[in-house]
Amino acid sequence: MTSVTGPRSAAVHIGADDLRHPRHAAWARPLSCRDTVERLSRLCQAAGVRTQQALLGPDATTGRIRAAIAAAAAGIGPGGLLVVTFSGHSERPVPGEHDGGWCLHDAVLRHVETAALLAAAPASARVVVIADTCYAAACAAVFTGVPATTVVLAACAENQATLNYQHSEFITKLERLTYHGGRPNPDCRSYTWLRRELRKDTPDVERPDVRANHPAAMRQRPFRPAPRR
Amino acid sequence: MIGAGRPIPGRWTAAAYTCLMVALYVAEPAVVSLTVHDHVQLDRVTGTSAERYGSLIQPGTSSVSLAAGTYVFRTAADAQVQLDKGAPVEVTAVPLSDDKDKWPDPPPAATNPLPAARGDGPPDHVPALTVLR
Repeated sequence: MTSVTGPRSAAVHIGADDLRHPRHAAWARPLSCRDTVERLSRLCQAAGVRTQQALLGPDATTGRIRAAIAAAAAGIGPGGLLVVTFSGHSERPVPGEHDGGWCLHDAVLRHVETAALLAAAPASARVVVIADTCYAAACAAVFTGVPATTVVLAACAENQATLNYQHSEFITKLERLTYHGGRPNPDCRSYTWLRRELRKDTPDVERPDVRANHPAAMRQRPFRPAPRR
Repeated sequence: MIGAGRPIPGRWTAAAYTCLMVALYVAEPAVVSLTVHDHVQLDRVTGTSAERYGSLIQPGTSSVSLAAGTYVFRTAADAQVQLDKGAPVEVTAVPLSDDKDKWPDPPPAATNPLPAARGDGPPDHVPALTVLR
């Protein structure tokens, strides 16, 4: 973990495009993972996130992802910023059985497990989760219990699917709206604004969403750590 | 009528996953009439990717001019595609599921592969597609 002045920030980017679990191995290989990780790494760098880790393909195992999120959450410290991004396939919540999860190289990481890992972040920290996958907003319902202020940027609703293209329109739009060309967009002052812009001109069947575990978080400037006290 | 109302038992909830995906294979430039009930995006499939084709299609009936190629759109409600008699266009509903063996009739030769969803399982409900000539 790099030592910086003030609140620390970290990002963990997951690009799960090599699935070996028997249930997932026959599925179409997700095409946009690497482009998404590249774009979001660039976005985070522009936002001042200095410590970033990308876990792609066979490196995106449940063990390594758990370790990376746990270490990053514990390491950002009070008032810090943690960004976790996921690109790949998802399993949909099944009422009474599970709340859904992200398909990794070897198995599914259930959202409830991810929530437990994010709980290591101090309550004064900020967590941003970017879900570029089917049923993307499903994790937001589970992350409501994370102590840190947590905002989920989802490619679609929990009952919607995204298509497997080489580039994610959601991610390219997110990059353009926040840090186009590495420069902050002065209009992007809150998650409320970002939500409105992300949803503009999108089909009803695949509409991005932004959800927070505390309503006040929607007024925060995206990708900023908590202000110093 | 293709893919009319196929409920998947056991997973129907208030926030049901409802989706119909339609592919249009256009051999020569043609005009099709689409009737949809929500805001729909038409994509032109290019290789393993796709590009948005035109603006969002508004609810109601719209005439759309299509160049030769493969197009897809998805909707959460029933849809109707009307073609002129003899129009060189094939229209089919595409399964959205992880069962890769359940594809529709093979598309015409030399067309691009259709995209799949990035998630497990088929929709809870598949709206109906009606094709009129």
